[in-house]
Amino acid sequence: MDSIYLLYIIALLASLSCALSGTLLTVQKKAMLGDAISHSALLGLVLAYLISGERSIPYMFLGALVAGIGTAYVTEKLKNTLHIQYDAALGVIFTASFAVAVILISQYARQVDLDAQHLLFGEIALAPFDTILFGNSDLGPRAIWTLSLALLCNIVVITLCWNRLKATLFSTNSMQAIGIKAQYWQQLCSILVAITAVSAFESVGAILVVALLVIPTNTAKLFVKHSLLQTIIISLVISLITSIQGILISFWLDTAVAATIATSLFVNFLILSLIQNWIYPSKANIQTS
Amino acid sequence: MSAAITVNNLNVRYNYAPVLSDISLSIPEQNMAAIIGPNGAGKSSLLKSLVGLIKPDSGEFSFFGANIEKQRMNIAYVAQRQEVDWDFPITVREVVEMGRFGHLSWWQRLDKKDSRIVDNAMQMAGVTNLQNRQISELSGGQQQRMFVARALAQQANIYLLDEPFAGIDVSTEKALVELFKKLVKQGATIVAVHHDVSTVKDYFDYALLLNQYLIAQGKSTDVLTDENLKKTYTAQESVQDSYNMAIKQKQKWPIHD
Amino acid sequence: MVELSLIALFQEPNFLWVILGVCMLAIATSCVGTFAWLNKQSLIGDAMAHCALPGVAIAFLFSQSRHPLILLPAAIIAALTGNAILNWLVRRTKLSPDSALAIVLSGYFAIGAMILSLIQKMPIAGKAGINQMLFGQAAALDSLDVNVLTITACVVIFIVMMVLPRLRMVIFDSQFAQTTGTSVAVYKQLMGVLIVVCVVIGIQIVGVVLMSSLLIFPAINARQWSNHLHRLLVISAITALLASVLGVLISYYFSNMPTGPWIVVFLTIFLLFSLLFSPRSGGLVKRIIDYRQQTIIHSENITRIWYLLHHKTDNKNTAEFTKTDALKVRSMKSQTFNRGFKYALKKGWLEPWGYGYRLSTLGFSKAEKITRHHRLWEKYLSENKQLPAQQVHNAAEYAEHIIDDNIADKLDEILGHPSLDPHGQFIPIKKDSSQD
Repeated sequence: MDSIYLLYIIALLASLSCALSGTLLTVQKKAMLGDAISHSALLGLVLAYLISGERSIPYMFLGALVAGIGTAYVTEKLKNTLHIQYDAALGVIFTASFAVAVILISQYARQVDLDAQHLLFGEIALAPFDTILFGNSDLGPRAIWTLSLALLCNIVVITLCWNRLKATLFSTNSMQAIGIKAQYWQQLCSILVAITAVSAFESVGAILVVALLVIPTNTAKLFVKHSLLQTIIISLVISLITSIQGILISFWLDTAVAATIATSLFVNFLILSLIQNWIYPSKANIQTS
Repeated sequence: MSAAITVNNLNVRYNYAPVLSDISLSIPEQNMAAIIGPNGAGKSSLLKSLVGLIKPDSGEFSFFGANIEKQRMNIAYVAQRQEVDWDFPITVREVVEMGRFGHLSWWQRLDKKDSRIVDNAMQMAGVTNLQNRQISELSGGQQQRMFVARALAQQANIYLLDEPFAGIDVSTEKALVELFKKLVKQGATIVAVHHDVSTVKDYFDYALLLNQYLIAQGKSTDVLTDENLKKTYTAQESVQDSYNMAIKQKQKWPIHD
Repeated sequence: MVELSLIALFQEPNFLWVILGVCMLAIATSCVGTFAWLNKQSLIGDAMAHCALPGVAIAFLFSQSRHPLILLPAAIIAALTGNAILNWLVRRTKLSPDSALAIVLSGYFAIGAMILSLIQKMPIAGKAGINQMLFGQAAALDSLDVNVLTITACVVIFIVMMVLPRLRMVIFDSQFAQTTGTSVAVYKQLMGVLIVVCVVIGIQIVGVVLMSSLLIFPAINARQWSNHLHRLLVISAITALLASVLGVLISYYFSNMPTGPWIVVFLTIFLLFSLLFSPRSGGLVKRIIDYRQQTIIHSENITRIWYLLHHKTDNKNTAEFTKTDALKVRSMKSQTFNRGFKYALKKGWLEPWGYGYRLSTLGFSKAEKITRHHRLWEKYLSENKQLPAQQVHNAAEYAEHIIDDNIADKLDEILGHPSLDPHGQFIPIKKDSSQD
């Protein structure tokens, strides 16, 4: 298949997965979790390499996944035990993880290119060429497999658990009072975000992942106020359109594809915010910021 | 008449400072009961302890003689209105539907019966014409009625309401009181944290006076004496304050021999 | 690995200047970080650090130089625009603050990455050094860098100290501040600017990703020890200072170690230490304090047993009782009993006598005082609160150890100097010579 088409498909898969789990994230006001996971995943990579002794993709992926899920979980615990803000707990966890990871790399893994920069910047244009070899046959780009899996997880979890998710994200306490374990559902959301993010990092890069998780949803929220389902759908659409826009611009300007898509998301959001704010100046704030 | 709710030896602290001390009470069934007391008296904490949102240092509860886990379906809790994120993209109907979720497993959807219960609940609370609006578009009174509708959708026997009449207009307040009285006639027990002493006797049959300790409980016509109100709202506060401060400073807590 | 011995290191003037600069940076950053934390914007350091990238990229693209006096101002300007957009989004469009941070962070970083990808395709010298920006390397600073760092940090510290009182008011009660004519917006913007400046100059030492740690860790750490603003600032500054100096030392000593991560490691160690050992936050010290308090309570209970036994016997001359007698009156686990008993002996409340033990005069007045407290509290509860009778007694069992003479006297007054408790037992009168 022509690599250009693969590029679009990969962008599409990443956009869909991130829009789904990203909306759940945004609605819980934990938008910075994506950024945090992108940094603490490095620790997972390093530990996987050190423990397994080889630079093999499945192990590293698993390591990053465990780190991501661990970050989400430990942050919640830290927030509840120390009674601090969610953002502060995130800051503690991801900086500590990243620091340990960098130290481990400089001590034990210098010679091995763990591709830390790749993790951060990522390059989606290379992804179509990074294929999985199974036996003798080429199964196609690895990115498509991992992203499809992530998308499947997102779709399955969200459709099956729609009621619970909506209820526990909206009114945690009231649901707790009638016996529904709200914390478990919140943890499930965080795990979903971790799976999505880690699956997308390698092909799409951390910057774009964070942008995809948060920006389309907030753009959608400029227009849709009353329905969570519609918010998700509109953010999917925005995500797809902007991905195409970004890819085209990156070809034109010869810049990195992932970064260009993310920039497009950002710029579009700002423009739409400005327009929306100009047409409907917001009502007085209930609380001072 | 048996007790709908019994509390025994409830103690709640926050950061070593006592919030509720040695509370033992019982609320008879098919009654409308008010919990009154000054700010910071622990009234919200009492309700939250009942439904398990706060873990007390000690305390036993029973609802119609049974443990809460067996009675979850029967208890509806309505929190104070400011604890909600009003920007959440959700409509009134979707909020009311949440009242059915306790009866459904996580993968189940609402069926026709559930929908009818939801319609009925909205009608009783008077929010049917608002059902497709996003929740921030509602006035204070409408928001309160929406949450009451959610509680009604649960089809519970016991309603625990935290300041249901705070910040709403007079007509909504009257409508809600009528609704609650009707529910009680149909067999429900309603316990509400109430902020306005002057209306307790009109709205409620039963009253509990709370100020960290239980000062008095009984029929609202009997128990709202001047002396009791004085004990609740004024006087010994300085002794109680000194005592609480001493606990906080010494950080002591009962241990078992 | 070990390039210079420690002493030689400290004789290097360049090294000393770096240490000075880092110290100033640590103090400045921890101060502004404490305010960011109080303002509930902990991750703004992270966001601003990411916002610096496009500034650096554009400046490099046009000037093709890595001179700090070109790159730093560009970075600061970029981050300031990011801060402005952030504030606009939160205030004007009611965007949720955490979403705003994430959007601005990823957006700006994306713009920077886009420009970098252009640069990397161009034949420009000195493109490497991205690593240094990401992870920080104190040893790579030259004297110009250090001077800029030190001076800027000192200016920030000076400004913070000048506006401290007003700033505190603005953060804790912005409505009040506005009514007294203080412009809340101005002070918050000032804070934003100071945060940006500290973050940008700090990136050279600590790196982009870890910059937020110098803002967050010291504040959380200090919070475990105090809730007063001045103390928070001082403790934050000290923590940040120590961690930074140690981190710089390590990265000079072991030349392949980057500075930033080691600073974070030390910050984490200090935080763990605070969590375990500070009396405010629980952990080990609290357990030890708790244990001691419990021992005291047990010993007081035991002393009181002797008092009760004393009043039960008809023969007032037999003063001594055995441990077994005591346990008959009030049963306790033997371990608990022994612990409390030893303490009571140590304090001199009980003394060996005859075939057992008796109350000393000290012990007698102690027990009498506790009994007074117990019975006064019982009277207070039964007259003013509604508790079942058994609970009244249980509550008093606990309260007797908490109440001091002040509270007891207040109770006495409120209750009208009662002589009997609810069970009909007499309430001891206060005696003048009493020790706690």
